[in-house]
Amino acid sequence: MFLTELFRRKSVARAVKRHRVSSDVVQNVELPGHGVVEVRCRVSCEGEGCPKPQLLTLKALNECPVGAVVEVITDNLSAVETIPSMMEIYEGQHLGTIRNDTHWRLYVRREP
Amino acid sequence: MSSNVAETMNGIRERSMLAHRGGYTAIGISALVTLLSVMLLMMDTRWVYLLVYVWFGVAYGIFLQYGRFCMASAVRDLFAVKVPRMAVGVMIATALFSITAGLVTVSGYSTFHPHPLGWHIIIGGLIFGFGMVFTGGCASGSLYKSGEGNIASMLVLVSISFSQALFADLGSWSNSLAPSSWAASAAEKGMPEELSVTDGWFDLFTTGYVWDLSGGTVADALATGNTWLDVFVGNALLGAILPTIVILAVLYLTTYRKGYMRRSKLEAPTFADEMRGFWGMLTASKNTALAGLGLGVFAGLQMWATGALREHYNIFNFGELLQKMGYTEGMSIQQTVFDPGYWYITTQEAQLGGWILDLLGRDMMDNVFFGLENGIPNPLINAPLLMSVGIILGAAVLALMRREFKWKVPNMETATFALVGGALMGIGARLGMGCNVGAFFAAVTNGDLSGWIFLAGMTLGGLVGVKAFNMWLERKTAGDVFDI
Repeated sequence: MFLTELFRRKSVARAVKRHRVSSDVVQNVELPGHGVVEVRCRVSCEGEGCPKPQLLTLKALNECPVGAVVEVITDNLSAVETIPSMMEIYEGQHLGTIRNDTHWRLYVRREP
Repeated sequence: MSSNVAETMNGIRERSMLAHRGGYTAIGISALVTLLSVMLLMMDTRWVYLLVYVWFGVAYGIFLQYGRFCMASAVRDLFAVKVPRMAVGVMIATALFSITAGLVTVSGYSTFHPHPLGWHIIIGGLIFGFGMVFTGGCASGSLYKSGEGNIASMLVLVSISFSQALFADLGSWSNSLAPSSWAASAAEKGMPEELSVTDGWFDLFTTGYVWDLSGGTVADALATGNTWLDVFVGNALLGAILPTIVILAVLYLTTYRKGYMRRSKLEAPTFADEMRGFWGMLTASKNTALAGLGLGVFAGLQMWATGALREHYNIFNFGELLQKMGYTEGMSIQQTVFDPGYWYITTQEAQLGGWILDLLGRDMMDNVFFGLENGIPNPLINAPLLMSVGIILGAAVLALMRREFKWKVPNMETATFALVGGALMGIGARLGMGCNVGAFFAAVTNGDLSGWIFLAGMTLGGLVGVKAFNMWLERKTAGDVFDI
């Protein structure tokens, strides 16, 4: 029982670390047509293949407060195409996509 | 904020596609392929037959990358996140290719042969569909993603190649896994002893089961005597376009309609509203739709080009032309090589795996797949294989121009999924006599209804794969924190 608990805590710690705020992160971002928005939740899935970015985005939307802006960081081109379309299906809103040299940042939220 | 410049999607499009390092590399690749093509033609103009494959491959790679066109996405995104984008793109390509393939058929240049119909098609599709969920791409998708620098997709290609080659050359140990009726039927076929058709599960499966089945096209079944009627009403309309419309209607009603009516604030939509919604679904992703159109047109053009060249050189298989040009190594015992004349993916990958294994000392010609049907020519003169290389290069050129090329090194989990999923895709492809392109796309668009059966299996396998993947992901991400 102790060992399984130890492994569970290590697994949670790794998971938390995976989604920890990185040093170059901002909390507010300016999006065309929406002005400055505050990012409330973040999903980092650089290097992840399909369908992980899409599924993790849905998971984050379900677990973050309604109306809170979720930032999805990905370098998966299919996910960059699919996530905005997902918002149309899931009563969400795609606020915008910003591209850096190495990855894309998509901003989405669940509509109240 | 990162020191990298942040740009909107519009900003990226306004920048030059060539005046940057990636653009220069793209120009270099294009120039190299062009130069090699010219040099080959100067050596012998008959290399045009092989170069047609290469350049159509480049075109496919460009369209695939442009539209992020992946049939695995079509199934996976539908079941995982209910997004029909890619499924719509595939249906658009299917409808259009059925028309261009029809034009090629009535002109007499078609190179298509229907597949035998049997249980193996749906089982093969099922295994293929399950595997592709874990690899993150179908057979064609893995090629174009490799062109984008995705190393996991390259691992998929390696796995598909070797799994197929080994599966096609299974040894005596696998004989007991085959029904005795297959062995009896295989023995009656009178095949040359060097092929050992009664030895090895896949040989028994092919000669003792598949060869006893029959296949055909809708045009063959209609047989009105009027070729145009048979092909366009039979193959194109009944075989491809009508089923496509039904599938699109189901996609619209089950995934897109609710969101469209909500966004449009329509509580009592009229028929015109529904049609606008349907059109909205078709054009929701313009680049995917355009890629579908492009693939449909070019797939038909390739069939015409290859058929015309066969008539010009008076051959029925590239193996004949290679022999006239002085190349005899690696032919099948029928003196043929794999030469479908249209877009195909998996068999040439199997040939690459077989060629490498043969080089390492394993006899890969003592079976039906390589020894009788496809041969194992040198990869440098394997036309369909160079088409696949063309797909990778075409995708790489466009990705470099759009600054989307990036070497992506997979983690252990992704690499494992790529290898295992790729192996399943290889086995499924050999059982189903092809993949999402060869067993579905090329088949249904030429009136072979077995393609829809493969798609059904692939879809079911994809559904099971998504469920399994979701369970895995839930377990792994339990306790994840998304709040900042």
